[in-house]
Amino acid sequence: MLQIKKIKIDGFRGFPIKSDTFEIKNPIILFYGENHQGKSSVLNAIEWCLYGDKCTGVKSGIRERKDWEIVNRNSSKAIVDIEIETDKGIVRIIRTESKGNGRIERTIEVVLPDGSVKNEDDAESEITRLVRLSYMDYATTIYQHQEAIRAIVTQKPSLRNEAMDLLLGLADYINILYGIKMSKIKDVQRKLVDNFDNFQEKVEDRIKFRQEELEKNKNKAKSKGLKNKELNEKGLKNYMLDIKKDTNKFASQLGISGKHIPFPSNWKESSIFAELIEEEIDRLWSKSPDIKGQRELSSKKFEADNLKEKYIRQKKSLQKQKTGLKKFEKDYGSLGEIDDELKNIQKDINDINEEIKCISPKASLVKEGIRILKDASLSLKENVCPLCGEEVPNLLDHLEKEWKQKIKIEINKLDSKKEELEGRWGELEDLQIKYERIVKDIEREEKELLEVIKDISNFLGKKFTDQEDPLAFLEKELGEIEMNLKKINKSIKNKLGKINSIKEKNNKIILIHNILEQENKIEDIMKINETDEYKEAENIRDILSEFISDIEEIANKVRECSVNEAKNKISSAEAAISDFFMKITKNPGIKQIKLIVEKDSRTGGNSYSFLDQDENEVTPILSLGDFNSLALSIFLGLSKMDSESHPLKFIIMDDPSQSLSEKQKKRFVEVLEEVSQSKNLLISTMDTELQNFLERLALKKTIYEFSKWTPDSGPSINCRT
Amino acid sequence: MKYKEKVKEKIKESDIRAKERLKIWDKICEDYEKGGAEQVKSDISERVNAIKSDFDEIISILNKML
Amino acid sequence: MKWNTFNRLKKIRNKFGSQQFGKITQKLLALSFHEMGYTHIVERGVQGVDIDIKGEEGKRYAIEVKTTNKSSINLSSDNIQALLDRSKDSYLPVIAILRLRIFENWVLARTPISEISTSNILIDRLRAYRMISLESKLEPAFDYVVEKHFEETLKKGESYLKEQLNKIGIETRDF
Repeated sequence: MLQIKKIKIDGFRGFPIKSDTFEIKNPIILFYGENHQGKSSVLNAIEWCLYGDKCTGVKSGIRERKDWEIVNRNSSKAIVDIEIETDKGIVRIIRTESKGNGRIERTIEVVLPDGSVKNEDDAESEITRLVRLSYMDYATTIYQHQEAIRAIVTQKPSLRNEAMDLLLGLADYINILYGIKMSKIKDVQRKLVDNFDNFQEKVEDRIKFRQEELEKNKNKAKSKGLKNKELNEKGLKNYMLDIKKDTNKFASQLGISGKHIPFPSNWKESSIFAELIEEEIDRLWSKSPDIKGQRELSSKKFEADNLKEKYIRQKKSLQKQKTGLKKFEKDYGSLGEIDDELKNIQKDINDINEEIKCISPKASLVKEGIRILKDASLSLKENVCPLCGEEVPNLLDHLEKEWKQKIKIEINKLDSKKEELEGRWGELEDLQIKYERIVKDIEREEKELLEVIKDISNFLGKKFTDQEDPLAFLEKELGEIEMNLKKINKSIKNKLGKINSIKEKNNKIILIHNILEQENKIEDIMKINETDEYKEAENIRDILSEFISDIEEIANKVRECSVNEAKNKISSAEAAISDFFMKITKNPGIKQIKLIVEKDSRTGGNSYSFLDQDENEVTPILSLGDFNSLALSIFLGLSKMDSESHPLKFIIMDDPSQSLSEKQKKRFVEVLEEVSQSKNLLISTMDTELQNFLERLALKKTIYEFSKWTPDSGPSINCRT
Repeated sequence: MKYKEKVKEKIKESDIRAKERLKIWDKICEDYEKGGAEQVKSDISERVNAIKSDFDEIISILNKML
Repeated sequence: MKWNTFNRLKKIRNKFGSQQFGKITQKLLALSFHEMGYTHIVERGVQGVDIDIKGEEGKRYAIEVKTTNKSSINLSSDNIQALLDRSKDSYLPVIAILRLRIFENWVLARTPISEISTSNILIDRLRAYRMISLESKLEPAFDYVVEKHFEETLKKGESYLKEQLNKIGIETRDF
């Protein structure tokens, strides 16, 4: 059995550098005072001394301890020194923590009853050996935290269940289950399964698509004359052998040496083979003598045709000109005749001019006279003869009459005739020009025809005499060319037929190749499950499944252990719990409290029910004070039973009386008095009523009253026993 | 730790995969003692995610075969 | 299973619907076990465990058959109770699952009853308990049985297979 006898605190949390010593000589020790006076620091000091950093930070499992400070802010070092009475004598545990230069230094020392000292790891081991209680268990079964009471008091079943688990010391199970739950392994497996599912769907789609394509290709092949029994490797090979033979034969037919085309070792190379065959056929054909010959003859024919056309055209053109000339001569006479006519007209014109000349002196005289007389009329001298100057009555009229009646008519006559002749003269001149032009054209056409004949002569390699008709020779040559062309074209047609046959076979090879390729691809896809990768995927699924089933089963075992342990603890403490509850609450409606724990089918966790003597749930009818009493009863009931499982002979209660009524507090103190028969109680409270009841009712107690806490000096502590 | 032994006994009761489960349980306890629930969660997650990551890689190779 | 088997089963399911398909597959499975040399085969249509078999080595299995194209199955409380009841007669409980997707095969899971729950169970979850040796023997037998009985099954459905089972002395119970 371990009992704390003395606690000495220096620089720890609410205690600045000043030693405060608390003697534990009575069964009940009360630390009383308002908030923030350092009371809780005493209780914390005990657990820190025993458990060190297990009770601080995240590891403690207490949220408020996350940033817990050990060393008082006005100190550089925290020292807690506890004396514990054991069966073998007093053991001293001294734990320190100091901060300086940004570093934290910690020490732990255990002084055994025989005076030997253990430090650091040995000291920790010694403490563990002595105490035999994990911090988690200590924090739930030795030290009742305020949070624990608050949690039980809540109406929410899930929170209450959680608080009960902690109270019953099942925190380790709960925490481990929480860790397992948060790893979300099932979600990961789900994702993996979905991933694989997608892959399977893709495979099925691909196979379906490729089968449809294969069917299309097979139909295409059949439409090209391929039979079902040929749509395989053997069929393909036969076609390839055929085509190779045909190609070689073709080459020798053309008299050209063929290129060596390697025969494929498997069907996959057949597409390359087909390509090479196609190339070879094209190559052979381009070099074929027939093609060359055809090209040359075609070119020659083209030239001959051109010359022929040119010759004919030229001849026609010349003929046209000559015909034109004939017509001209027919219409207008020959050039000689035109010349003659021109001469005659010239003579006639001359004669007329002579005649006019004769008439004209007279006429010109008369004309001039009229003019003079007309001019003179203005000066009233119109009747005076311009020659002799004698007045001749009506001279002007006379002259004008002479002119009109005789001279003019004659002259007009002659003028008109002359005009006529001159007109004709013009016409004949035009005819002359025309004639000359026609002759020139004829000359030109004849020249051009000679050129054509020269070209024909060069083309045929023959010089023509005047009697020889170049066209005839040309036509003869054309005839020969055409005959040869015909022969060559026939030969080409024949060979093209062979080429087409080879190319057709080549296309069939490609069709069969594509079919085999698709069949192969489908087979490959269908055999994916035989690949190492697929087997590896299956293996991974198995590994994951095993791992997850192991984790889930472990979680189930943890839950089983948790519920069993809860049941065991409850069953061993049930009577005490019920007894304490009845004593504190004195609820007339409840004669007995039973705690039932079962596995919650929904969450898998523990589900606690509180039943009365008639197996009815009591939680709906409990007040806050009743709930608090229940929490206290459970704690005290368990601690009563726990005596066997660990040696700590004390329990710590921090602010236990929250929500209790006055009467309940009184009865609570009576219960405490009962519990103190077997365990030391270290109680911290600010509740004056509780303090008063303890002072009045508890037989043996020590009351440490805390007040006037300051940062520099800490609390002022008054001790009364 | 009491909880450790109690769960171990339970695991031994079933004959299927008891050996593997005991190993895993030891690791869970180790993680728990080292870093609490968080360490348990993180270790299991890491293992499971590593398996899934390997799987995803294989699936991507298999997809390429299509 | 082979691609052909997969295709044939798909045709059967498309024709008869998923419920009938389940019953047909169960009978095909029973025939497959017979093909593999198992004896004392009992095939049940309604109440009780779907198939009982006894092997050469004397081991007896009570098999709950599930067919699906999803990635999880549901076990009813009746299913579990039936397996539990059979386990009392020294039958080892097995859940046989056929997922009709490409590359899938029968999963024969020897799941401990304590680990079975009435909930949506991911098929992959059960892989941890696969009886791999039995599965690998079942695969070719099942392919063979499906091929052999496909045409008639497609025409006549479950009744044809019932006849076949009775012919070879396999007890069928539809109550």
